[in-house]
Amino acid sequence: MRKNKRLSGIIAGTMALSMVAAGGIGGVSIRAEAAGSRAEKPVLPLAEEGTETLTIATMDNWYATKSYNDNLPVYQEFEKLTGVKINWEVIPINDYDQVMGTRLASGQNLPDIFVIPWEANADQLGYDGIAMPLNDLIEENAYYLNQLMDKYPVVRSGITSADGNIYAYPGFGEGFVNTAEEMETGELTDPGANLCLNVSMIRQDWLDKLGLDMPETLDDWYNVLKAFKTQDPNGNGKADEIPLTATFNVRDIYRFGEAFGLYRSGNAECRWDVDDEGKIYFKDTTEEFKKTLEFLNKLYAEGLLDPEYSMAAYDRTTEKINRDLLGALCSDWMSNIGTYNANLKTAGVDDANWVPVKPIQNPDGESLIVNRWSVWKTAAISKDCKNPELAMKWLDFQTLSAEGVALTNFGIEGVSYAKSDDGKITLTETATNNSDGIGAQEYLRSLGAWGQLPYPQAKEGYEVLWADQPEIIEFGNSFTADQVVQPFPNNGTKAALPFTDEENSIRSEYETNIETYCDEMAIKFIEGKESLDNFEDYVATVESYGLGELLEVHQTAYERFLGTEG
Amino acid sequence: MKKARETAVKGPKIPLKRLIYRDRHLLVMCIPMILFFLIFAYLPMIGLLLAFVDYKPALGITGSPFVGLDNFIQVIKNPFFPRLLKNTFLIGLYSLIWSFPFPIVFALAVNEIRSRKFKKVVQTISYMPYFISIVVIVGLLSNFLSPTTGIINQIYSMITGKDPISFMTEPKYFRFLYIATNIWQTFGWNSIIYLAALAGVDIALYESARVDGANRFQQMLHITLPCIIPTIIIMLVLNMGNIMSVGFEKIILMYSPSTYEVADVISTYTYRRGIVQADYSFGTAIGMFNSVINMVFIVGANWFSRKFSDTSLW
Repeated sequence: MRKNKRLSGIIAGTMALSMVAAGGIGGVSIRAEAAGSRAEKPVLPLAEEGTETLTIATMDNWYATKSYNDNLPVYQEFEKLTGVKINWEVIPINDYDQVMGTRLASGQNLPDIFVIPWEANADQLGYDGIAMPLNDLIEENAYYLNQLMDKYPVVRSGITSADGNIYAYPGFGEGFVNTAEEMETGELTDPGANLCLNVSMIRQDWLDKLGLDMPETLDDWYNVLKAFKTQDPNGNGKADEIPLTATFNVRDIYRFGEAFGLYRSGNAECRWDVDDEGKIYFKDTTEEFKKTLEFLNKLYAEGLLDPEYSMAAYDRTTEKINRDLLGALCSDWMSNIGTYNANLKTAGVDDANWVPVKPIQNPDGESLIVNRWSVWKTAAISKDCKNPELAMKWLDFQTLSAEGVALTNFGIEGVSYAKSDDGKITLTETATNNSDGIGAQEYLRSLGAWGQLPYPQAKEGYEVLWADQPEIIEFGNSFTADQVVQPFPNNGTKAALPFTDEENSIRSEYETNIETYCDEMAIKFIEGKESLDNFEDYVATVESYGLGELLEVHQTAYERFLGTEG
Repeated sequence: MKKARETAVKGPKIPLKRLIYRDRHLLVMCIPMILFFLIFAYLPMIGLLLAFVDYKPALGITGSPFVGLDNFIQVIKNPFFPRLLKNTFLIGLYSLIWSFPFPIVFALAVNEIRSRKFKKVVQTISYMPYFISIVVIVGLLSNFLSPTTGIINQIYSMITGKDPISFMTEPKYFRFLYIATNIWQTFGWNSIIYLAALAGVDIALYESARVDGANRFQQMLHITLPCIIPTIIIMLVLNMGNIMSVGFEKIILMYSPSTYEVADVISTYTYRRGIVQADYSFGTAIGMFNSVINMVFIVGANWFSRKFSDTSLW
């Protein structure tokens, strides 16, 4: 119930804050003044061929066999279009945080553009003078990003740091760009619910076999799981079914909080959320969370929850799926459904059918879906960059121009995709049924699309990619606008609420302790090692670990965030 | 012994220049090692200054604001610190107690094998696990022990008829699993140094023992073992110095919030904290704390050994 009117909450909060925002919070200027003229649509090429080079440091391609060092076709195309030659400094994915982190900490000989390491704090790089402030550069050179920020102020909020400066060029998940074409026409359409959602999933064929309906309420879920456990849906005569597991993180199972109005915040199970009055609260100490734990405790006691759920990891979950043991999972990405079904078919379970489940009805009887948090502080221009205007123009063209969106989402025209006369895009046979036997997305990655540099995951990109799984696309489109909840700005590093330096030290002092304690206790409550009668003591301990200070810090940062949104 | 030392000191004084000239070849050979330690062991110690400042990369170590012992106070005031210290120490101590004797016993046993070929085969097999990546080992472990799909639990349930045990999420099994796999992985490799020591035992000793009528077991007890005691003691002292350096990768792979109460050690806590924010200063402070404890252990063990036996590191 806490979040069914998220948007109105944000609006109310914004209004309440507008006066504060006008004066700036804590001496921090909220919006940088535009110094020069606003960017015009860029004229290609951005530079005369052979005159300009940009050095870009990035982690290597997700599809590891094709390195960016090999000058992949998508980036050859970018070189042709922009006239700018790219000098790659590619570091293997697993080493990137360490190698780049050290290089950035030393602050010398930096590349022009670098992809921000996952574990680095993007804002901190700015405060430390490693990344250049981009406000004016964006205003004057980033035609496409300006367009997007005008339509979606949350984009600006999402990349603005606590000192009012922008230090990163964003990459986008779904939710902002629908089609490649609209970036050129400038008529941006509203994307609605994401297609690649994070939802619970269930074996539809098991439901059918046992004559059960798709679960909608908490009681439905309990009955379905009970039936999975006791009525042998995999038909091997043994009660070896695992009715439910967490997918890849122990916190996945707290998704059942939906039934009490506690929503998962987009990408990861974030512990923070905001109520209708714009007040930040900590989920793990709420009464609703206690009720969630009670339900999970019941599941655990009756053997309906995987005894290993606290060790959740993708490989273990996949194994249980492939062995035809698992009935349902909490919180997984839509993109995995195809793989699960294909694997089960290979294993000889022909009628296997994993399907997404609509979110559990909240106390008001509504089934609300939370979109992903989709603005990521992805790339930065370093202090050593000699031609920042060009770097910005290139980044902006690469990320958000129609050509860029098409290249990074569908690959190369005529190779990986074809365009019909009415503008409909389909993947070619080469992409969907390639000789290397890799999936279509992997194939696109082998060309350089769906990569590490910033790009928007266009809704169209998923539609093209999943053309053979229309039911997934239908699921996303089945939510009406008032059923879509915008996510709380994650407090992960790349999508952070704008914290100041000082706030970050408070966080680092208290947050780990609280998270450690909460995770540990929640498991004890669920497994019955600690009675839920002691929930009050648990809350008191969390508070003694500095929850009050943390709440305050988050509230301030959130208000700052709303301020920049205005 | 004491007397000999005194005469050496009081002997005719050779000028330093002459000494250097005389040992010039040896000194030249020392240079690479001295450089190695200077560059890789002593120079980085400057980095310990991080523990006393609020480090900002752009300002550098010397430019960052000096905060004195604040970072250390934060470490000690941390409500989890006692538990982290206890877990780190216990895992280290139990590892030492349980895994230290294995390579010695194994080396003694291998030494008794008569067939050279068989001996080589046994040794090679025993080294093998050492080269398996920890990721793979932990993967094997959780696969075999899984309560739903693991082979060990399936056998266990079949024989006893009881519910499977969730080994990996039960705190009481954690240390056992951690240490047992460690022993399995390293006993062969660690026995090499003892085998080398055994190879140096004078054959004449065995011959005379045999003449005196000692059987093989007596020979092992009264000749082999005493001959490698110095090696054992040195290894023990060195291992004492690592008691707080618990293998962090393996714990990260093995633990989960359900086993935090026994598995969360100083390094894993620092790691989780590092994810939230690159808190270099806190990390350095806690690392320094760890090193100091290790230092105390190694000095203590050395003192103890010097006092009660003839062997010591220094």
